[in-house]
Amino acid sequence: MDILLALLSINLRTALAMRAAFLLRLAFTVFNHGFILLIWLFLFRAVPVVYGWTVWHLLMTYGLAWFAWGFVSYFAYGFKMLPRIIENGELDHFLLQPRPLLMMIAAASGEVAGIPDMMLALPVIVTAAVKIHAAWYLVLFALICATATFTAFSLAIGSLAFWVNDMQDWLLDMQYNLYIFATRPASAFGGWIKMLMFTLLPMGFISYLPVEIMRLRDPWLALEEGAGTVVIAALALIIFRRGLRHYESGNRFGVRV
Amino acid sequence: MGATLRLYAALAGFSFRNHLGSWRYIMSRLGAYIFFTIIIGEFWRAIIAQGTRHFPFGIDDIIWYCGVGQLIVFASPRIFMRIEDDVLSGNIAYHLTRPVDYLELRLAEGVGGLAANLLLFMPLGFALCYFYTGAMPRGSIGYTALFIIFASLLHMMFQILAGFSGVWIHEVQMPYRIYQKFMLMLGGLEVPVSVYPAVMQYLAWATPLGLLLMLPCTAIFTPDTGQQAREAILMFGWVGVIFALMLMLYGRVRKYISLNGG
Repeated sequence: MDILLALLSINLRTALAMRAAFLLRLAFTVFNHGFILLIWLFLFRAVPVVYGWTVWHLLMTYGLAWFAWGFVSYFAYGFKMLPRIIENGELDHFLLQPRPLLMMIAAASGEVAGIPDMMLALPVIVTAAVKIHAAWYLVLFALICATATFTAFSLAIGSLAFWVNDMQDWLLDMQYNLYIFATRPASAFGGWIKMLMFTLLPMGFISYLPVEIMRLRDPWLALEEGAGTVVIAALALIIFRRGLRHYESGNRFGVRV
Repeated sequence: MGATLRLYAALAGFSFRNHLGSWRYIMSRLGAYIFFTIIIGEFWRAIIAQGTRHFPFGIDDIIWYCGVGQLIVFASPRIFMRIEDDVLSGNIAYHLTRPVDYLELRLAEGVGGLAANLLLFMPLGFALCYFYTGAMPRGSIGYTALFIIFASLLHMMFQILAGFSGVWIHEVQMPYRIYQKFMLMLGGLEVPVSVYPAVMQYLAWATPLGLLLMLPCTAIFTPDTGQQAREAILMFGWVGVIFALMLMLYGRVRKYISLNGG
């Protein structure tokens, strides 16, 4: 835990050392996410209710996915970069350390943009929660499950690089696609898309089910959400461990400071 | 002149073959294109089936609309990343001293990559929309294809402008993302501009950022070819304006690098 805190503190100090860049990034993050959100606000202005969801439910999905995205960018950036780490043989450095491997990979570096993402997602979540009268413990539960699912998904697809080369760009695309998918008004989806939401692209556990739990206050849905998150996390760990057995060191020489 | 053209044609040809050879990249982009076209199509199918509001388009129209919009976004080569590498590493200074003009080099590469992508994405995109809806579009496919080419060229030039801005602000991703968000919002990628408030519709018409996506997308269900011809002229005019702007900025980039280095 001490090591994890030290790593995160170093990443944070690095980010805050460039204050102007950090503030610029903050402004850009507001713009980047706010602008796309406008599109959906226009739609909900024309169609106020989409299969039981109002604009506040959409804001909640947006906030949850946005927070999860920021969390992975800052606290688990190593998972985002896993294919590059594997392909360059940089995993050797982590394997030689007597610390929990996944923790070291995850927190080895962080993307500055993750902090403003999380900072700005929280007020969106709180505002939406107040408007839809969501219980706070459910909001917290949803936030944990959404973040855990997104992190696990990043680890799972990043681990595919143990078997397939040249996966970095594909991983970033997949992650972005999941994020985009998770910020759409999911109440309108049915059939095979719903199936996809709970399997290959598990946005169902990131944004759809959490909002449905708050809307319908159904304990069974909460149970499904919790169980789904645990299963996805377990699957990600299994894929990573299997891949690790497959790992052959890279042929690059280098020093990691 | 002939030799110069042959050189750029060779560069474009190389980029064309290189793009077609990157099958994993192409498959990933094609997969994402098909996925998002269907996702947004299904979303609109549900919204229209809900019947709470009448829209000036039907379900087939909106599926063709999404197919065209996503096509422009996914078929475009990410040329700004190439320029970002050159600008942020300072390598652009070395390129400027070479006999091959830097802007023309990147443009030739971009055009080659774009041609390869469009050659794959356009027929596949139209086939996807046809099989998905089971109907031909109400508008002209020929005009839509022309609009897609204009829009892709405009998109490429905006990418180059974003790339060059890195010379002054040492950041390319940010201006590019800002441009991209304006383009997606004003162009109505997922929600047609006709659903927007009046002031936003006006803004979409008044800027090339809005026209870039809006015109090709709406052309696919607009049967009035006279209107399409007028819109094609408008778009061509914007291609000229942005091209001139790009040349002007490139001149400034050259001057800045000559004085300050890369």
